[in-house]
Amino acid sequence: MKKSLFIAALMAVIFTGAVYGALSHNKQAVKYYLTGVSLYKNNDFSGALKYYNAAVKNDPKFWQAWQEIGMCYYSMNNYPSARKVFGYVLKLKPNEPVSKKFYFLLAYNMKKKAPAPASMPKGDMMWRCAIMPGFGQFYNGETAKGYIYSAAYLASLAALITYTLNQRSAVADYSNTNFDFSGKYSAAQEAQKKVLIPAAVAVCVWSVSMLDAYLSGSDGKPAYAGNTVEIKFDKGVTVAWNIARVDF
Amino acid sequence: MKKIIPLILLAAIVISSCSELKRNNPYDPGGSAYRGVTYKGDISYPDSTSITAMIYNEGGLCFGAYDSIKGDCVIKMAGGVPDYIGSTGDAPGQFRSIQDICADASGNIFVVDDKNMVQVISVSNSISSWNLTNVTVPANKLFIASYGGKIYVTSSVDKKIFEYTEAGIFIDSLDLSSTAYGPFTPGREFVSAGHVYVVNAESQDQIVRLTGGLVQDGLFDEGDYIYDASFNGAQDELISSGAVYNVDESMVLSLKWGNFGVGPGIVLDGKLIACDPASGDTYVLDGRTIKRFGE
Repeated sequence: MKKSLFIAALMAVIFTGAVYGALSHNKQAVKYYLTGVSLYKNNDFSGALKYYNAAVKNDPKFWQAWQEIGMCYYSMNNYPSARKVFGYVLKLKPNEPVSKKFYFLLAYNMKKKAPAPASMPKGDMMWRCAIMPGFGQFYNGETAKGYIYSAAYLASLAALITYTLNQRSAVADYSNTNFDFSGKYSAAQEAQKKVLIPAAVAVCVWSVSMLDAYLSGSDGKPAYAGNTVEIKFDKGVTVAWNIARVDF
Repeated sequence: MKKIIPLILLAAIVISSCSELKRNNPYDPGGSAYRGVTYKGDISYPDSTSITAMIYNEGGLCFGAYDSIKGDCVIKMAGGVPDYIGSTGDAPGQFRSIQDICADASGNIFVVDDKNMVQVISVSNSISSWNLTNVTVPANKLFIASYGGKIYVTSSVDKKIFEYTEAGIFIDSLDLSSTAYGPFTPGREFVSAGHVYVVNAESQDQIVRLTGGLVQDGLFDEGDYIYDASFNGAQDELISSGAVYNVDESMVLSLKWGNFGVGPGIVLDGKLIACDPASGDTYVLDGRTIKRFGE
């Protein structure tokens, strides 16, 4: 697989960048580009990506460099980003065969074997769940779980408020009565016990939501999610914003 | 720690929002703050009866009343079944607008109405009478009390209290037309273990205390309208429109009750009061309802 990838990348170079002048008129961009090619040959994909990014920063129309960025993402198994980049290449150079091939190949592969969505950091999820159970799950894209936790928590809170009001009413009823003391005192005791039920449910929902956030969340920073593609230049300038805004 | 703050807050909200439940209702016999008086239910009496005087005698309540069917009469309620004695009229054995009743230690009931006589109903319900000597006729505001084997009658017309033997022999009288508080109109009477008390019929908040032999030895201002009173064997219980006052011989308040809470055990329109010294139970005529209270 690696060998075929290298051949594909090499073919891309041959077809698109063999002729020095045909690459870009920006010499600095071409220089970055060629450095990236040499790093790619040595399977240093992240290093190559860095130089390809520098190349497109110098010449944003440098579609060959964009295409190599796509190859780097592909080699790093970041298929969604790779496909976006190949799509962008096709916008710069319609029907470019390599990008076209990978663009549709990735569409097929992504549908066939969609990578599991990356989780949000557990810390971010947990503080959200601590405030409102289900909030962390919504943040992590787990909509169904989010609805379940939040609905259960809100329902238990509503019951808690209702039972608390009933308890207050029952205690006042006993305190102010001048007859049927035992009956009213028993009713107040029952009302007091009932308050504990939704309180326990609320605590359970809160705890389970927190535990779920801890187990579902990732340890590190958030990986690719949605349409954001992080591409960093040397000085830390990102073009992810630009890519995310491209309409294919 | 930061993450469990909401949980702690939730618990705090729940705990603080719930009212503290303590069995400390002052009327609750099972409570820690029980004051020794609780509502024990209502006492039924005929709907056709309007009660003007009420005492506890011979194991049951007795009323001086007007009954729309039986007329002016005394009703003995011992056993729960009304026993009507007398009818409307001016002859001995008949009554017209009964003012007050009392009972002696033997269970004989003494009745005053708008006539110048005291009618005596024996335990066996036979009626006798004797005239009120020295009392101005018509004496339309008479009250009566029995104490130490003597009968004490107050007259709002004469503004005096009269002392008789139980057989009707006049002993003495005392002018009560004025006190240190000003003009006084002798009204309803009640007794304790050692005294006879007379309530000012006009202001209804001043009370004169007398020892045996018609010697005034006390004057009190209760600060509330006292409609009736009764001795429960230990204390006098004075009834006002919205409360009952338990007082000692010097009218020092030990407990105010009947004004607490929501429910049938509250006194809203107190009129008459009677006590059963044997059980300590108190009967209050509240509007048209007789309520029973006790320990």
